[in-house]
Amino acid sequence: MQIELDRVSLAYADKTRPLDDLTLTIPSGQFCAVLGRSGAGKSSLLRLLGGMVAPTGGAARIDGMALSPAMPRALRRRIGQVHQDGALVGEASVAENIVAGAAAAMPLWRALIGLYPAWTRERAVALHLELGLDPAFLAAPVARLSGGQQQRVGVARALMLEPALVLADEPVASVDPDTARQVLSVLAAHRTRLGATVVCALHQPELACAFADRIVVIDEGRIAFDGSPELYRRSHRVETT
Amino acid sequence: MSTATAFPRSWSLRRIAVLAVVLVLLAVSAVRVDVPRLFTQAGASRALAGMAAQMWPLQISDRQDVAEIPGFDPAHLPLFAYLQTTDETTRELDRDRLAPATVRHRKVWLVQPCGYVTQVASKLLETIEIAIWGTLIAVLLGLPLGLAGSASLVRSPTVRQAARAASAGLRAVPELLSALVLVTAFGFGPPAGILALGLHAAGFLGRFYADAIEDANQAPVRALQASGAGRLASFRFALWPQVRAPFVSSTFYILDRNVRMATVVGLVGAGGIGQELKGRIDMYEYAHVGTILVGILIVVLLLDHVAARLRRKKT
Repeated sequence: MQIELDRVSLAYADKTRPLDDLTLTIPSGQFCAVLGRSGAGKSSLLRLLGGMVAPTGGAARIDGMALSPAMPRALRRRIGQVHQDGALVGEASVAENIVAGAAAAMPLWRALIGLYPAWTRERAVALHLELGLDPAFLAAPVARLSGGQQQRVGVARALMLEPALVLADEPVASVDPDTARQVLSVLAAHRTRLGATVVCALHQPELACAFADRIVVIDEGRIAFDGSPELYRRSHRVETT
Repeated sequence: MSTATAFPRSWSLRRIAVLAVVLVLLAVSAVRVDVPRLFTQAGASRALAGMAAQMWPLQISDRQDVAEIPGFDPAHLPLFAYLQTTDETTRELDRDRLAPATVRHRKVWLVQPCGYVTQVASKLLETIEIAIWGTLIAVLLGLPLGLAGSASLVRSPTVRQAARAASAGLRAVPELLSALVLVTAFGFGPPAGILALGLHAAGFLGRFYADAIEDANQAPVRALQASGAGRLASFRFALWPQVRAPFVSSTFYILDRNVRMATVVGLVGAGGIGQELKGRIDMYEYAHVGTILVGILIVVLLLDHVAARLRRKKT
């Protein structure tokens, strides 16, 4: 899915402007890492791309359709989102949380009585293992997992419907470097397999350089850098790990 | 020593004035509602003691005149039952001589040694059944009211306020009052009691359910809806796991409450043990009343025990 932002700004009622006159085109199939300090506007950009908020200025389109909280459900199903706070249900099991990612694609009666279609169950287990989570966790309540494990559950949920666009807001914020590489590899493999677009907010430049084909740095709601990892490395002296 | 630190003043004239006003109001009210009689009426305690004395011994057996049992078959008596024959002498008018005469009547009774206890037990069971059906109706009505009254699921404030108002309206009518009215519509017996309990409790559950949903973490709901899930599907995955425990515990509370209230609505004829109790009190049959009260006490204590165990299991 191709994303086009044309002079987009986002202003809140309290006069803060997390996004200010931002123009950005992300072509289909690109792995784009978004870097920036905390509060620079990374999360706001991802929330805008996910149709959680409407732009207050400019035009935001995804495959030519306007991005807004009112966008059709059929379009939403093609967008997988990893939320920064996880947005998981602590009381429900890991398996239930992952399978919830397919809620939009299963018959309501199956969801209501918990008789999930076989493909959703199989896919949930496969993603769980692919992200390096212990099989014993599947039946455990999410609240019992560590922060990093919960983040991986969030990633698995976002990938349930094989989305054409993955929006990940700091999916590796609280995992160790090895696990971070494993999670980002899963996202990269997903991109390669389905030709999906991935937009991923990160804090670690070295990881961004290792996995992304493009790096966008946001500062105070504007684009401060936009280029290839090589260019970023040269201008920012990133140590490769 | 000149600048000794003083303890902060811990009283105020205002507090004393408020206390005085409350005491005066209580004194005025005591005269209005005749509170002194609580302590001076010696007859009251005598009356209560007398009633209690008449409850002993408790009524255990049951005796029925065989002549009043339609289709009575002496060859097939109920379990443990036996027949008892009594002779009664009464003075009646002899029609032939037109003079008073002593007449002997022979009566045959069917005696069931535990007959009345069985009858009370069956009425208690009926009371519990009324409570269970009342709770079922309350859940069926309260669930849609609760879902419609929560901001997480219903965006229209009009619908939400209407649902909340409906819950408040149902709560506002006491069971006893609606039972009184419903008995005239449905006649004596359990149906009026079931509906009365169900309507009142639905008001409570509608409120409890709506509050539980609104207290839940809404982030997963927004996350699922953002990826195209419908409202019911996102309720199922994002909210239900969070509200299941509060839903179950408030439903058990309502069941517990309904068993107690089911005995009370019986007093106005809405079935169950209450109806039996009212009938016996009206006929001054205090031994029967005693048996009923002991039965109610046992059921309520048992229920308390069971409810406490269920709650402990949930947490």
